[in-house]
Amino acid sequence: MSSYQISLGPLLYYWPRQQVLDFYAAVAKSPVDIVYLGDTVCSRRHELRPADWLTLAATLREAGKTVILSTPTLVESGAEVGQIRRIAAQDEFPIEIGELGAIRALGGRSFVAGPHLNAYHGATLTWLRGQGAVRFVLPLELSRVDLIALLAEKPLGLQSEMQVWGRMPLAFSARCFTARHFRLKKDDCGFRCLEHPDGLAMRTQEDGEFLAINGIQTQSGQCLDLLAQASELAEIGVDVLRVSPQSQGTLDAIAALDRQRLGEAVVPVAPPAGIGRCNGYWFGQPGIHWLETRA
Amino acid sequence: MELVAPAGSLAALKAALQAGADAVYLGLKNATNARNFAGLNFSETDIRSGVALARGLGRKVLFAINTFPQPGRTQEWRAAVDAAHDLGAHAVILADPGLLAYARDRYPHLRLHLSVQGSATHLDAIELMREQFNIQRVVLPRVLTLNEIAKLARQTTVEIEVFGFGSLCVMAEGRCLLSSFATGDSPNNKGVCSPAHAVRWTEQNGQLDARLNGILIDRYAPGEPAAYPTLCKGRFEVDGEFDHALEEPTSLNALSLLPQLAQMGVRAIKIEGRQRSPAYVAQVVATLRAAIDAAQAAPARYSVRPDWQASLARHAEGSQTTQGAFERPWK
Amino acid sequence: MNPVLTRLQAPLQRLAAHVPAPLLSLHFAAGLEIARRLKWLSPPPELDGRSFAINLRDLGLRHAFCCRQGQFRPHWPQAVDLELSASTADFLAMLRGQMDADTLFFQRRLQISGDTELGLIVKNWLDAAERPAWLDKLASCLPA
Repeated sequence: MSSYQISLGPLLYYWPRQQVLDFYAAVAKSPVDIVYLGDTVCSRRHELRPADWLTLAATLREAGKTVILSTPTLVESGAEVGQIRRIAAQDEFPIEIGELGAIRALGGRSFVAGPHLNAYHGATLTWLRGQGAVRFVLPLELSRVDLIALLAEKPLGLQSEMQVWGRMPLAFSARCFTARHFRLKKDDCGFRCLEHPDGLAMRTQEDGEFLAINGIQTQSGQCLDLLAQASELAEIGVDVLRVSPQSQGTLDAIAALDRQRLGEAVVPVAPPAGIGRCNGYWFGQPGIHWLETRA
Repeated sequence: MELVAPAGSLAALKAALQAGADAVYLGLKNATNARNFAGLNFSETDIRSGVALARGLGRKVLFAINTFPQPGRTQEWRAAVDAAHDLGAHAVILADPGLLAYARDRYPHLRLHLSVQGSATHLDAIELMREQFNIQRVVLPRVLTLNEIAKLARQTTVEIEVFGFGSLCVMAEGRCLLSSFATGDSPNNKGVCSPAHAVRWTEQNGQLDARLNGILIDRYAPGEPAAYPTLCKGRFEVDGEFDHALEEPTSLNALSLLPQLAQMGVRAIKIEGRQRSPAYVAQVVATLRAAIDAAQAAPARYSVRPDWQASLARHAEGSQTTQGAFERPWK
Repeated sequence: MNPVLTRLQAPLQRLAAHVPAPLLSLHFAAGLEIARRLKWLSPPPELDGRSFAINLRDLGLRHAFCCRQGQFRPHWPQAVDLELSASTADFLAMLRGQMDADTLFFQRRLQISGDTELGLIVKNWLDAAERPAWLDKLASCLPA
């Protein structure tokens, strides 16, 4: 039976410092193999300073985790460019790039190609491999059929990783939607993201669950849940399954993936309270759909 | 400064050329471009006629192949690049590195423009594309401010094209999956956003509901101006407030910025709207033509004429115009 | 509304009240069929087998027709795949290629119900159609 590694994606939300430290202390004791660190969403967030992230990285490494530092997804200003340069300047930890420009700052170092690079076909994977990619994170909107087709085009020596749990980051904007909601300026936002550990739910006028806003990022309202497909993903050839941090359920999702790779039965994991589930992309449907697959 | 106009049909291309566009951008009738709408776009025969017409007038045809080749279907996108080359396009507008590599290797003399869908938002991203693929021009994402554009123009030798008028994407282009989340189809995978097949309009007692795959995107009061049911521009509930949670339906209008854009070295102004009619193309192109000519003839004396504003306002989505991210009022 | 249409409005409304809708549709479909034979309008295959209604709101007239084997015919049943509603003047402006359908739609002057994608096909088909010279001449005789 094929197996897989378990990764924890970068924390996409802005949590108070102590909550972040407590969370990663628990992560250190979890069966997760790879941990991505850093704020990829907003360069204004500062509960953890760059040096704090490095300290955290060292602690997690001592606990036996492979730690990878992630660069921002949308680079607009000097602040994000500075963030990339700082991450590129250290050579203790490998790097996940959030957008293509970071490749140039890496000066030939190897990297993990993040989920928002639009690598949808073999020629682009081959190009990324040539630039130094050792692993790539699959685009979120791939169906099972497209995933199989894409992996068949994958060049040798390139691993693959896929998000299987957590709200999906769907879009990025110059504009901060959280600040906008509170009628605040982006550069004087009062750091209101701190109040929303899983983002702010954005529902339809008929009270339907739809999206969530998290600063400049728009996410799925629902929590992606492909835990039931873990073994199938491994058999198709996905090397790493990624859990994206939420305020609740993250460690349960990691534990569930771990039990499955040890051969135990699939146990459902509850999404954070008040949040539904989705898995439509996997079935070639709109991503928002949820299809029950458990017996 | 070049004026680059949209064309969804040969009739629109002719309208654009007649109204004074320097270049027209267009695409094939398939998923290889980001306006893959039913009944829109060009057959190869139409492109051949369009290229001949443009060349006869000393103008250019730019060929958009700006979506992302899907797994197992690379050949469809490569065939589009082959067609662009064979039909005599002045340049191809591409977004995907794998496809850029193909065009560079196969047609070393073909001019490459990096599409806005390529999402090159900063110098390193643009320079990487230049070093790797020898791109000649970059279409800048609509997330940048004037200062950021000016800085980029100083730092790179790649020509810079910016949007000057049209419907505005709220999100960084080429990195938005909202449409496939709601409907299964997105700009990346199908070349469409909020596709018509998923749209249903229902009107009752003057109240108009816009649904996308059954999801209520917006509800308009009687007589209230409507917008495309683009899901980022709908009205939703956040924390008990009902509002445009992401963005209001606005159109970009950079008329007042033309002298500054020219002065900072921007090489081309692009008009959005390959999905719009020849009537839109003719009127918007003519207006921007007059404005660009005025801005270039006497930049110091340039001012936006009220009739230009009126003409553009008529076509603006949501009947509002802003300067979008250029001036970043929300910053 | 322009004066000619205003003058026409009342008699046409009276006519609509007395003449069964299908007979009006007969005229309308015949008009489209003439345009088709003059090779101005050649419907794309996507229109085949689909039914449409044009609703001239100011005149209170509704024309239903369908497209079969590339030909336009009157359509008798009430239900259609796509219904477009606008004022007569706005319809004429669209037909003459002087008005953008999206612009009218944004301003709530054009209503679309039914199959939205079919609506897009119709719009793009009309947009792509080259207007013959005689139509421009005819258009210039009509009030704007």
